[in-house]
Amino acid sequence: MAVLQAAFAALAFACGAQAAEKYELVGQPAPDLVARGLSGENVRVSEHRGEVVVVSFWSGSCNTCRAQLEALDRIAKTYATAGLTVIGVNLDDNVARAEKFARAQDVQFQLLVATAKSTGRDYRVDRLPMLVFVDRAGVLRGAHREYKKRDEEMYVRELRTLLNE
Amino acid sequence: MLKSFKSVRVAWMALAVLALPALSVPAMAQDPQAAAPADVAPAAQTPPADAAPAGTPAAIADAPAGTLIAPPVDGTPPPAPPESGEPPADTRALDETVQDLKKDVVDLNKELFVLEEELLFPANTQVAVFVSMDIGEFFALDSLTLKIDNKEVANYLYTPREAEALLKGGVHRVYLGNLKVGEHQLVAFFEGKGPNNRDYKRGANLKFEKGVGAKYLELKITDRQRKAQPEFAIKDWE
Amino acid sequence: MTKLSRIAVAVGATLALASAMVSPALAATPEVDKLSPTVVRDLHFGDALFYYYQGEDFETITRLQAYRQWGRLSHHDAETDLLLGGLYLSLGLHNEAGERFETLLTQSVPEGVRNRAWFYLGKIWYARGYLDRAERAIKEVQGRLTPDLEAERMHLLSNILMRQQRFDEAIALLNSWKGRKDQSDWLAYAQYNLGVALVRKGLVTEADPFLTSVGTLESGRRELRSLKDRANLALGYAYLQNNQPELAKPALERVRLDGPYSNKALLGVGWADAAQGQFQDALTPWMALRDRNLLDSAVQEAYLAVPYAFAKLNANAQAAENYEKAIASFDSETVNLDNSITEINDGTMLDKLLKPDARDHYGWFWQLRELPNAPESRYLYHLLAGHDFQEGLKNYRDLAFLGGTLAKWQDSMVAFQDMLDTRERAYAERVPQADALLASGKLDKYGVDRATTGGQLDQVEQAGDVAALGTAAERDQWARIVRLEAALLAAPHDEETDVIREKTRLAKGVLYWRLAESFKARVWNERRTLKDLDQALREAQNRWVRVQKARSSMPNNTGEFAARVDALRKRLDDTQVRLANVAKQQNGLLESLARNELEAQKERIGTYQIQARFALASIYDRAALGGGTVKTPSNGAATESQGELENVQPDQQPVDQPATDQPAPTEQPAPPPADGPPPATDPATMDPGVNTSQPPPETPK
Repeated sequence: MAVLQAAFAALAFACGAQAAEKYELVGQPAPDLVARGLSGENVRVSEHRGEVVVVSFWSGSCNTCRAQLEALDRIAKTYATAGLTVIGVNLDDNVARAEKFARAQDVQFQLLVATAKSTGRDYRVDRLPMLVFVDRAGVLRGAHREYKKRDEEMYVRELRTLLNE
Repeated sequence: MLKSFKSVRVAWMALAVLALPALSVPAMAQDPQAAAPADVAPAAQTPPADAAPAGTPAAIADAPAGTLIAPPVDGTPPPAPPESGEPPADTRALDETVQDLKKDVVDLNKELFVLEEELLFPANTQVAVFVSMDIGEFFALDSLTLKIDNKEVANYLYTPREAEALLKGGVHRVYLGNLKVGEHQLVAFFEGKGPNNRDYKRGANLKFEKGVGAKYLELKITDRQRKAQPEFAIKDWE
Repeated sequence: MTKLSRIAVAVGATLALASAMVSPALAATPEVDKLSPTVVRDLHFGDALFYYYQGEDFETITRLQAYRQWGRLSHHDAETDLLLGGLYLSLGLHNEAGERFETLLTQSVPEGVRNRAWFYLGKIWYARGYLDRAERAIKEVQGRLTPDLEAERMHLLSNILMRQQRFDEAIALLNSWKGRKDQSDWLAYAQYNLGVALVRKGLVTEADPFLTSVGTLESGRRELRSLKDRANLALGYAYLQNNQPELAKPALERVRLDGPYSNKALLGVGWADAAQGQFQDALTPWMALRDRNLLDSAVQEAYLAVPYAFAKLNANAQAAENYEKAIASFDSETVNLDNSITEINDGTMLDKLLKPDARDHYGWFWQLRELPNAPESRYLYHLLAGHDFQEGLKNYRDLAFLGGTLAKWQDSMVAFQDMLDTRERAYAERVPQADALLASGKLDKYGVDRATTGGQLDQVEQAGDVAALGTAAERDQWARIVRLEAALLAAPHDEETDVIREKTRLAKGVLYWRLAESFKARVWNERRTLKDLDQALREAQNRWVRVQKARSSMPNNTGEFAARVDALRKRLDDTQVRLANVAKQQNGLLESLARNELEAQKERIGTYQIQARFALASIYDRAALGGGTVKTPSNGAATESQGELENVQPDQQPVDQPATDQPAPTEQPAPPPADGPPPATDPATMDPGVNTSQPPPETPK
């Protein structure tokens, strides 16, 4: 299956790969990620195994982050029934401010704050916003840094591939 | 176009046949999986759709004799004879293959789990810390921090699902590590929410002696002493 | 919340729904089969339960097996078997599950455990189609299980009986079952089965109250609404066959218009009207049906039923027109089917179904299910709802999950290998050092030295040899005095020499006195030093032993691990290959299922086509016999049939003789008994892949 997945990742992300740089964690299991949701409950990404998970790392001080979150909101709504989960993970240090930013967003999917410092490192987040795709088996399949309007289409294409599995 | 001259009678019968509602069979007869999926991985007890005979005149009890065309069975088996209960040959072979494979993967996974622990945490240096809950009232565990010899070794955030598992009687192995023989100190804190949204923060510590075998320590969150007041107790499983 | 002091409920299998894929965010975690409350006596058993309660079946199995191997579950033997059995069951590993339960039966276990083992064995046999064995196993259960399991047991037994056509027994059993108030789900299923059994025995009137009860229940849950439809459909068609169309209609009209059974219901309503001679009314549902997917047999029949109704209303022109319409539709659909079959055979169908960038052949199922508007998906919606397909899909998903798990391990193996290499190198450095040390015999030498020194001290103490413990200066002085004494012995006794003798005697006395005074303290000091030395020696000896041990186990240890790592790596790789192959096979099977489905549809349409042509011809015949032509849009056909009519044999019966136009009751293909609701879970948490009552995608709304 690893062979399949690798070949498959290469093909399916052929388009996306041109836009994105190589993400070194592709093909590896997603590192443990747990943080607090706005309702006060902890959310762990691995509990969504069986679904395709999109994790968006964002910060309140980055403008394109907001645009991306909006785009993700649309995608989340459309594909929820097919088994897609979108999670926004805020990487601001100041938790109070992070909560404020999060509440100010008008998205339906979960936004997490008070993320452990190690998370950014674990996921090799080097730029914001950054998006990672986790497949149904919990394996990282790709990442996208920064955001432009046309990226939304690309996300959808890649996600449909993952949802097919 | 079929010649129809000799077969006006047949045509007429065909019409009669046409009129039979049994041509369409109620859904219940045809989809074996219309059974709720609660059943244990049901094998295909009813023959699959395409196994039904294309046309069995006998299936139409009162059809006029000489009917050319039997009502097409829309993927429904005719009144099923007592089942032999064997799924079609090629599906079964694959099914068995899949089962064998699953079993092998399960076994392999266990071997890997064993290897990993034996290699990284051999019995003579292993230390394991467990968390258990014995709470009568509602209590949502939020986080747990562990320090051994003043070094933080674990900081675990509990999701609602995990907290629930603890309440049901599950025990979480929150830390696995290695320690040298001798005396060590364990310090633990937990935070959580009780009824009426009240926050709880408690701590506990224990000095323990690491001998030559594996050491198990249990952090018990309990409200035994005073109900609705979760407290910490550490048990050393000698 | 359960107030149970670390009480882990002893467990049994949960629901068949627990698949290898964990359904996320469970609203209600799987209900656990309670034996008697047991305290967790082994921490590691509790650890396994921690994962079990979260629905992580695979993880639970792994841990239970591993912990058992290490002997950490000694207080929970029977429970472990029970739990493992249930988990294997949910993974579809019937053989393994069976083995676990059979193990339990050989132990001296409490009756409750024995009962559960028999019950689950019964379930397994039933799932594999061995009905006799299943029945025997179920009947081995003595006394009662928990209410939920009891309900399931009754249900299982009734299913077994019904599948064997032993309806009387099934009826008796179902009539005797009394569920609890909170078991309304099971009750509905029991009523449904009871109704169906009675219908099979021809007792439609007796069946009515049961089927109507199910057919009128209010529920938001998908499974129950589906059951409701099925009950109404069954009742409706039973009445139709019983020549009671007026009773059939209300039942059929309760079937959901947007549900998976609506087509058949519409068809049935039409027949109910037709049976009562109301052909105009019948046209309404039948014409509605014609707008739906032609690949549904009810729709196909509607294509013929509409002109039939027109014919009955003596609207021959419209009847002929609609027959021709039917024929045309069937023709074009046949062409489409042929094309699709070709594409499957070529392997190009899947490519067409997929969007250009998603070339993953394994994933086309989702698209077909979730995108009813895809033009090709309608060919296969029957297939998608089919049992074989759903099982295949589940298998495929399970395999994908397992593959992912193994992939994670493959990464770890690399890390282990590195670790072992590092260890090996470290050992390679230290081993010669250790060997040299051990070979040097230094420790022994020290031991000997210690013994000698100890002996010497004893002697000195015993002999009171104060001089021996003097300082260097004192011993020096003493030595000089001793030499002087010796010299003086040989000297003459004169005044000078005597003075020296006296001085020497005094000096010796003073020195001796000094030495004697410190002797005890010095002895004590020496002894203390020896004690410290002893301690150091002991520690050194311990360490020596440990080094020896480590040294002797060193090459074995790393080598052993290295061998294990190698072997497991190979197994991992092999298994991945097997997984890929089986997935391919699975996919191939699904392709052939698709092909078969399309062939079957083609055949069915062909059959209907023939009927349509016959019927059309007969209309022309009738028209010809009654005088005049039938004006149809396709005049060519009219002309042709007219020509043929010249050859009609005189002895043929006129078409419009009163015929048994009434629907003749036909042997009703048996509704299979319902298999039961999901006990105690919220169906919203079911893995959608398993839900087989997925409605076929209807025409775009």
